[in-house]
Amino acid sequence: MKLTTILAAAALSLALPLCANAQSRMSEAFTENFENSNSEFFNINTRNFKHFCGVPSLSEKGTGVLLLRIDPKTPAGAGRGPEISSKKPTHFGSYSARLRVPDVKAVQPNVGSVVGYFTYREDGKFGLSEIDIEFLIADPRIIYIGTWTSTPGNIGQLQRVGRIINLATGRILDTSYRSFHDGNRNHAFTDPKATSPSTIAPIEGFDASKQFYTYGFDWHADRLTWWMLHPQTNEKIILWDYQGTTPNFSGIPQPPTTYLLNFWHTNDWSVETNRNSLEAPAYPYMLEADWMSFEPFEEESDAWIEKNNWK
Amino acid sequence: MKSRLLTITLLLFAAVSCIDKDPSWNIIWGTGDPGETDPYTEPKPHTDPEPPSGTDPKDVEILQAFTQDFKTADTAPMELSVRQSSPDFRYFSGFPSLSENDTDILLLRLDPADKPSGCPCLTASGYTFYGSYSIRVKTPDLSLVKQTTDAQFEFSLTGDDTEAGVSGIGMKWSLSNPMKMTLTTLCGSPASQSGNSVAAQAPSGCSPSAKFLVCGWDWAPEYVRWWVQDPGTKERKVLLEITAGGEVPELPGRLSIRVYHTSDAPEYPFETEIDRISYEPYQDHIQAWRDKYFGEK
Repeated sequence: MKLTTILAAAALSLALPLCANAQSRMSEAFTENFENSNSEFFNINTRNFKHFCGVPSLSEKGTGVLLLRIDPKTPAGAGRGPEISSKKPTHFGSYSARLRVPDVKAVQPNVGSVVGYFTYREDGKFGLSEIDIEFLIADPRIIYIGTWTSTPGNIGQLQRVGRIINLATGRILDTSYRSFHDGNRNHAFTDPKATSPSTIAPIEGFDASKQFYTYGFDWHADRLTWWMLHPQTNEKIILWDYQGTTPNFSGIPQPPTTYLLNFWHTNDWSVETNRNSLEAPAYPYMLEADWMSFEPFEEESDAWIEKNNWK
Repeated sequence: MKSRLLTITLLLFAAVSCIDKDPSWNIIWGTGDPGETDPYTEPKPHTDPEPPSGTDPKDVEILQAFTQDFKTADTAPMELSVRQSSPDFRYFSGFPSLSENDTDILLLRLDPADKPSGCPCLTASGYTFYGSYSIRVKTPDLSLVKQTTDAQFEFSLTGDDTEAGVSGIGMKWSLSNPMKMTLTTLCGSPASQSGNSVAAQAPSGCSPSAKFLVCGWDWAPEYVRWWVQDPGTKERKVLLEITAGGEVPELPGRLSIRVYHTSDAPEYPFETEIDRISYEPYQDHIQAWRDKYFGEK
C-alpha cells in the first residue's frame, strides 16, 4: 500500500467521525403533536404554570395542544415569557406549526405581547441565526416575518430583513432591511428578488386569534420562503420568497440554530395599527400550539456543516 | 302547614321504602376511586331532572356522602349544563391545575358570548340535605384587568317544591372583587318565602383569586354556619351563623355551581378552577327529621 493511500485513509477515518458527530447532534425530521404531558423534541418546563403539554384545546374539539400561559408579573423582554426550544439544533429545512394566538382584543386592546414562532442561535464563530414568524396579539391580523443575522464573530453587529403583512386585507405594510452598517436606518429593497411576491391575496376574515392556522418557512442556504396554508383550500400561500441581498449582507442565516416557540411582553414594540399597544398583559392569556414540525434539507445542511467544519 | 308536612312525609316515606328494598338505591355517588375514565373525553350533557313534585315519591333521590375531585371526565353526581347547539369550550374536567402542581381540576372557562341565562353551570343529579358542604376553588385573578364584569361565582343549594316549599343556602363572590362575599338562605312555603342575603368580607388571606380556597357551610336543623379555611393556617374561620327562628331551611335541595353575570359580560374566557366538591350528610339530623314527620304520620 502506498504511503499516500495510507495517509488518505487515516485522514478520512479522522474526518468521518467528526462529520458524523456533527450530524448526529442535529435534529432529524419530526412532528411534535403535543399529545403527551411532555415532549420528545422540545425542552418544556411543565412545573411553572406557564406550559401545559398534552391538554385539550380550548377552542377545537379532539385536538391535544401545548398551552403557553403568559404571567402578568414577568417583566418585558424577549424570551422572558413561556418558551419551548428544540433539544437538538436544526438547520436548513422546512419548518411549520399550527397555532392559535390568544384573543384579547376586547379585554385588553392595548396589550403589548408577542407570539414568536422562530429559530434563534448565537454562534460565536458564525454569528446569529434567527428566522421569525411573529404576531403582536393586539392586532392578530398582522404577521411579522423576517430574519436577524450578524457579522460572523460579532453578535452585536445586527442585520435585519423583514416584511409586515395584514393578512386580512392582503396589504404588504413593509418590506425592508436595516443593519449596523449605517446606524440601523430602514431601507426599501432595490433588488426585485427581495420583494417577491409583490402582492398577496387577502385571506377573508383572517384573525390569528380566532382559529388555528398553519404557518411555515422553507430555509435554504440561498433562499428563504415564508408561507401559510389557506384555511379553506389548504393551498400554500407564499408570504415572502426572499432570494435577495442588500449592499452589505444577504439576510439569510447560515449556521445551525435552535427551533423555538414563545410568548412574551414587549413595552417598546407596538403593533403597526396601534401605537398604544405596549401594556403589560393584565391576565395570564394562553397561546395554543397544535403541532410543530421540522423536515431537514439534509444534503444542503451536510454540505454546509462539512464545508464550514461546524461543531 | 298540614299539606306541607304531608307532602314531605310522603317523600320521605318513599325514600325509606326504597332503601329498605334496595340499599344501593339512593347511593348516587360514593367516595371511592372514580375509575380510569379518559380525563379528556367529552363532558356528559346535563339533563335537567324533574323537580320534586311533592306528590310522586319517585322524583326524589337523596344523595349520600360524596367527594368529587374532578380527576377524570366523570363529574358525577355533578352534571354539566353542556350547550347542545354548538361546541362547548367551557368545561374541562381532569385538566391540570393552572396554579398548583399535581392537582387535576374542573376548569370552567367563561364564554364572552354567553347570555346571563346561559352561564356555565353544574347541578347535582340528586338532592342533599342537612350536612357539611365544601368546595375547593380558585377564581380568576382580575386585579389587573381594567374591564369590570359583574360575573359571580356561586356555590349553592336550591330546593323548590311547589307544595312543600323552598329551600336554599349559598355563597358567592364577585370575580372582580373576590374579598366581597354574599351568603344567602331561602326558606318558607311557596306562598310565603323568606330570603336572606348577607354581605360578608372574606378574612385576610382568604381571597379565592389568590390561591385555592376551601370553603362551605354546615347545615343542621338549628343552624347554618358558613366558613372558610385559612389557606395558611388551615384554621376554619366562621363567616356567619344563623340559628333557628324561621331562617334555617328545612327541605332538601340540589347543589349547584355556576359562574354567571347579569349585565356586564366578561370580555375574555376567564378561568375558574375547581379542585373538589364534597358533601357529608348529618345522618342523625336527617333521620330525626324523617322520624319527626313519620312520627306525625
